Amino acid sequence: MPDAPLLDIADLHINFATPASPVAAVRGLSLTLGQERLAIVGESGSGKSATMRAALGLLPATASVKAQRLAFRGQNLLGLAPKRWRTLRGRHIAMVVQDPRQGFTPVHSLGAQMIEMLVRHRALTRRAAWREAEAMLAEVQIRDPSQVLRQYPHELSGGMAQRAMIAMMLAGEPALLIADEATSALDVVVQQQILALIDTQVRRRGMGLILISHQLDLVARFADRILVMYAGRVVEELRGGTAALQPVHPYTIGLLHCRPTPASFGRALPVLTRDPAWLA
Amino acid sequence: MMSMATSPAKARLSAILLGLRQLCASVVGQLGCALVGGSCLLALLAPFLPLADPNAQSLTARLLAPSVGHWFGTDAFGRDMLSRVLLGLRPTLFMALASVGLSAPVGLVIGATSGLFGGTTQRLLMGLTDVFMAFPRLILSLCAAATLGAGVGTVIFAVAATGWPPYARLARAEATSLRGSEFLLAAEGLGSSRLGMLWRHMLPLCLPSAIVRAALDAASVILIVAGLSFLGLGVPPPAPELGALVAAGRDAIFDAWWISALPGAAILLLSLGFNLLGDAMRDLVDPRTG
Repeated sequence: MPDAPLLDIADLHINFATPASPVAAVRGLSLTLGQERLAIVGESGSGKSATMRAALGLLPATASVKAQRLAFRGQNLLGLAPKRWRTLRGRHIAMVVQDPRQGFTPVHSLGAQMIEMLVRHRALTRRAAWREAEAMLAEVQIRDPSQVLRQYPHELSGGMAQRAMIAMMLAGEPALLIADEATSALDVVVQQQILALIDTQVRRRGMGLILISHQLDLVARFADRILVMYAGRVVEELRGGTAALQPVHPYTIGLLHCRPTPASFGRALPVLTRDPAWLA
Repeated sequence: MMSMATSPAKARLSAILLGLRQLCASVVGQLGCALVGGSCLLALLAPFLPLADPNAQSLTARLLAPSVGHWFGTDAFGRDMLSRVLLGLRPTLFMALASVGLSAPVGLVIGATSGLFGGTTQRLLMGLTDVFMAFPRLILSLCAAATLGAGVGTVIFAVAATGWPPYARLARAEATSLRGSEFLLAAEGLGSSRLGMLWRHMLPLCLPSAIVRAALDAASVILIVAGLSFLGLGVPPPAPELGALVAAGRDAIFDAWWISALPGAAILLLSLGFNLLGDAMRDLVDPRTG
């Protein structure tokens, strides 16, 4: 089905089994994603990561996933066999993890890890894979790629490691890229650079992108649509691509007010007051 | 400071050299390296050294005390004890290293597997490990060796079969602490298979502690191997083996102490050497003493 949406989720519920009682992480989430840039914003525990893990089949065994529909390009993902998942991950859906330096195995050089990936998904020879890895690193603006490929993860700076991680995730030429808090472990200047880099690559390759973040104002510029999640549900959908957001939901407004601005300098920032009605 | 490496192979070589230098930085490490290295060298070179025939009996030269002619004296059959001890090193070392070399990888894989996969796999494998650990090791090896009959292969198997549980415990602890790490998530997110994750991303990280454990373990394995041979479960006579040599001298221990004492001292030094080496390696790997 060529015209099927990239990701189609209807009424997704994710529960985590705990010794006391199951905890509902996601409660009835629906979204459809085409070739667009979607940002999912919310506080810790709002279920944004759990949703994306479900789309990658990477939830722990204690989680139970129920949904009316959970499909990637029309292919049903519910109850998919582990083997089918492996052909999907990396090749069709790729995920950039939060802390880039923790995302590489510390005992292998960057080159070894990128080559492993290229050999698996693109069936290249090792020599061709090395050249491809060099080209990929050059594309994410890393100088001297052949040197960097010989380095180990601890030898890279955070921003460089995240660039390399993005290069590795793009190596399988996926149709959908999920960036799960991809900039949270980086400093403010590098955050912008990394988001711009992801943006460029996504546009050039015509991929779908899901940006997961808790920084609404940061991702607003880089997304076509923004979903605001609260307690496992989408509470508001905003149009992105602009820094001037027009939120309606009190939670979203509260979130934006909690960010420091030049005007708020020297004064205490407001604390979000939660309305139990938001949970309904 | 070392010069800059110009290729990965050279970098690896210089890393190994640096490790060796650090290992020999302490007195413990030096002593351990010297004892282990020295005995391995002696064991390797023993057949080429100008020694007396270890099996040549001489009724006129029975129970001679250590002298210039016979540095380690002679035994009840007049055989030269120096050549018997040096050649006796070989089977003892071989059996000890072979059983450590068998048990360490087995334990490592079992432990890393259960730590990585968790759940039922972990409960089954670790249950089995606990069962094995519940018995004293020497007793278990003794049972295995006695059931299977005497011989070098039997001793190796018996010691290896009872030696893997500590490695499994160690590897499981490491693997469990690594299980939630982002690089495993990233590897799985990139389509790595379970086996690939285990082999490429988990085992290399569990390896250093297993190597240290192996060096420390070798010390006790030497004692067990020698103990089994002492009880007559190892190399069949008349071939020399350290444990068997100690056993052979115990009837004459009050008249000819050297027959038991000198092979015994060799066992002690060998075991001590591995212990010191393991200690030095542990200090090297332990980040707290960095």
